[in-house]
Amino acid sequence: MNSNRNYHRLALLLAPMLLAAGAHAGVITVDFTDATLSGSPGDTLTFQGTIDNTSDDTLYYINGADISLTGFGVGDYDVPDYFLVNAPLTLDVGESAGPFDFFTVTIPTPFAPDSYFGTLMVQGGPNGSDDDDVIGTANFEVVVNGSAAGVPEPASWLLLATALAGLGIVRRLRRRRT
Amino acid sequence: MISWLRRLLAVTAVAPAWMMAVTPAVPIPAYQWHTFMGGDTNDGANKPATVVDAYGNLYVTGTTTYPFNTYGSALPGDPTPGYVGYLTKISPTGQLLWSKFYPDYEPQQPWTDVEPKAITLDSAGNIYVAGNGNVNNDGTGGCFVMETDPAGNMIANANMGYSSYWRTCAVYGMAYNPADGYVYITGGASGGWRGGQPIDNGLAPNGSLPANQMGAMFVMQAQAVLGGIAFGWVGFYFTPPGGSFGYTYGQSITFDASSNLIVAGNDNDNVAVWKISNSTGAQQWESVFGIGGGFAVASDGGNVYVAGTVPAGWNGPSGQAPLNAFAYGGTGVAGNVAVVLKLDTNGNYLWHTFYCGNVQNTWGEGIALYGPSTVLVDGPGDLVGYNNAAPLHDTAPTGGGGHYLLALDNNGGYQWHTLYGVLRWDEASSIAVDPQHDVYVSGWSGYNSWDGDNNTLPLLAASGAASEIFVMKFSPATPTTTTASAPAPIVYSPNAQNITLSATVTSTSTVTSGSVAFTLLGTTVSASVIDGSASAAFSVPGGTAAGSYTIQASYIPGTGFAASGDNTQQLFISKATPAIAWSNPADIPYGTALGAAQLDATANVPGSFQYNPPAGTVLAVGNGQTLSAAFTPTDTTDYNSASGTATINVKPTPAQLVVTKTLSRDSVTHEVVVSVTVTNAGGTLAQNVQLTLGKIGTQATTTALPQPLGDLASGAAASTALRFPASTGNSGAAAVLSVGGTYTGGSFTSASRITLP
Repeated sequence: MNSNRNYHRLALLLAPMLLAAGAHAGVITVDFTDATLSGSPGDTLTFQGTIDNTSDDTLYYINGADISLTGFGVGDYDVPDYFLVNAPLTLDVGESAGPFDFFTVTIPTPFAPDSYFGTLMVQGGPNGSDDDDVIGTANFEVVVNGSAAGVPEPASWLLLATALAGLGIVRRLRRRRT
Repeated sequence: MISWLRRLLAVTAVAPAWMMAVTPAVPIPAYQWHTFMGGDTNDGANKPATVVDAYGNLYVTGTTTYPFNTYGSALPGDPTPGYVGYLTKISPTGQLLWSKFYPDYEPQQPWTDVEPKAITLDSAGNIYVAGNGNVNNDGTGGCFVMETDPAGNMIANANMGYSSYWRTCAVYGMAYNPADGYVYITGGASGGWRGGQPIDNGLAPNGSLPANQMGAMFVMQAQAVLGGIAFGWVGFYFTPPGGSFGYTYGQSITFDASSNLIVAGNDNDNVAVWKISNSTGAQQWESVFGIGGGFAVASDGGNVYVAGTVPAGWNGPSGQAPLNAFAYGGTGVAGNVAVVLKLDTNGNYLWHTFYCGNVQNTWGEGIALYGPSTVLVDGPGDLVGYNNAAPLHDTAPTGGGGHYLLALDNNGGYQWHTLYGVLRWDEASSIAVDPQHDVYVSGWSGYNSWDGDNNTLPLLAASGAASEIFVMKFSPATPTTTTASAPAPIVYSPNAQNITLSATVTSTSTVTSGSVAFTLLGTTVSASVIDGSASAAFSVPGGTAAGSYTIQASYIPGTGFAASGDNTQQLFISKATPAIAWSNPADIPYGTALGAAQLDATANVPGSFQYNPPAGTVLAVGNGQTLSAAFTPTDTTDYNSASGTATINVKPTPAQLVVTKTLSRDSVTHEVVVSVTVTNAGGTLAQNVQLTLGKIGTQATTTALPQPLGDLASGAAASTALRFPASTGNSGAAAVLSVGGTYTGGSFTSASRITLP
């Protein structure tokens, strides 16, 4: 029954979101300070933002958060250590929280340069700690730049090859002398 | 003397052509006006002599049977029928300014009639008139010369030659030489000469004609001095012995560049030209050609041009054929034909040409140089053009006008001719050309009046006498020009722009002189006309507003062309079109509202953009969707509106996996059981969804992971249960449930505050 109830609640909540999802949806407005962060493999990106209760008359419990992110693995980002630590338990009408750290994304090494899209969904509800409706959502983007380090430029290759060749010649000359 | 020759004893007095100002190109003179005055029942006596001053005033002298105070009107109370000499001044517009008359003192002695035959002006504008008769009634002279002031008042006069019962001298020509201040008079004499200091030129010892010489040309030097006329030398010239009929006489005088006299006339009925020293009277050369007479002479300072008439054709001294063959015209009846002859400064033959009349005799009686390369000749007769070229004008309705004006180039080539008068005896006898290249043709016309171009009536009609003195004026016909400028389209710019203004100037011939002044935006620039075109660089000031501006192109004429202009063309400054820069924005996921990141077109001028779709629009999923931007410039006067487009790809919303849970505790094992439901709230299929993480706090689930949940389409859900040991925590304890998993191409994580059951 619980499961069915949750499906029903989720469907009611998601239907309008799927039809006309904005940058944020639901009664809790999720605003990223910067919804697009870019970095290179090895970098850890911290997404920050605020959440606001935009309902007219309802206090909402902030009970959880979900993230879906293309391209990345489960261990590459962390919600509990940030969002749930920083987010308030409840947001009263008109109340705002943040900006605070929502979550981090650590770009694995190596990682293909591209834009990766994700969604942060805040769960909760007006009834208490058991509510896990999606009451706010926002998209974000992780832009992974091309590797700027570790791959020498052609000129560097040339210098290196020249240096190595020089070393080789010196060593051969030394061998002949000995 | 044969009859045709006697009728030609007249003179043409013109200023030396080489003294006149010349212009590089002189167009065909066009008829201006003509008028009549005086009159006589005797044809030849009316033949006038003319000279023109620098201002275009014409002085006419000759003989009339009755004095006149206006054209064609007899002087009231004229008591003396018969010949009266006259001197008349006519304004450039044809108005008779004044007339002076010189009566016959001895009506019973016709050889004493005052018959002016030659006229010239000195450097002060005083008028010299010479002719036959006794001007001062001293009863001695057969010829006379007199000087009047510019208003025609007598200053001095003198008789020369001799007259008893029969006059033994005749004046035909006279010219003033500004180099020495003398007038030189020529004509014929047959002995008994009085006046001047005869010179021994080797022909007439001691200045006396040999007994067997029937007559000779005389040339005499004269000058007005205080109290009278002072004669200088007088010489007699002839080819001995003179024939029984034709004797020798000079008809016309001019000067070469060294002030030597060039005299054209008749030597024993042959066309003859002499060169005589002005200081000594010595003959330098005489050139005699075929039968006929030379009646007018002009000089370009070196070369000599002679007009005359011949009764038969002849070739040059070395057999040179005439440029235009001798013929008797349309009737084929023998008569006289005009001849034009050119010699070099040494009297050597260069060319000659004949022009006959159609039904009348033609004589060349007046000659003048017109510009540097045209020779004008006039005379009586309905002249036939070269190769029957039609006249510029002919007298309607009968055609075959009575007198002609002929233009040749200086190589004798035919240029044009024109006919006026009536088809009876009608004789142009004089040409005078003023410095403005106005041409005056004078003569007499018998029996009828006639019209000018386009049936223009004379200023004053003929009186009705049997013959009338006529004067015609022609002026250089300034060819009209047409100036056509070209439009100059440019586009507005805040910076100065260099453009080229151009115009073409056309006329009946290629316009090679003058300039075109272009006025645009209050600034005038000029450019010379070269081969009918002119182009000038013009700088349009920066920031000149878009619009149309009149280009005024004015042709400032060069010699021989009329001014013209054109203001029909415009400088069109069209509005500039702003440059819109707009790169295609990056792909956005579905659900992303259009904003500044996407709607970021720029323009190179100030203005505003209106986007379609506007900011805030959430586009449907799809690639290559068009975004358009309409740009409205702030300066709508000078800039057009503009637009730009960009395309954007809207990607489906990635899979959004939402985890919901229901917690319970196993009643037997007291394990915490978390029923996990994973719902795909995104727009794309999540494939191979599986749970890979389940923790409450740090306690990992005891359920084997991964737990496959299969594929989850958008909106689909799948559930599984995760079990945690009973030791995870006591009922009622707060904890954080962490659930995570993967799907093809992504991952999901969920963290929830829970209270343990």
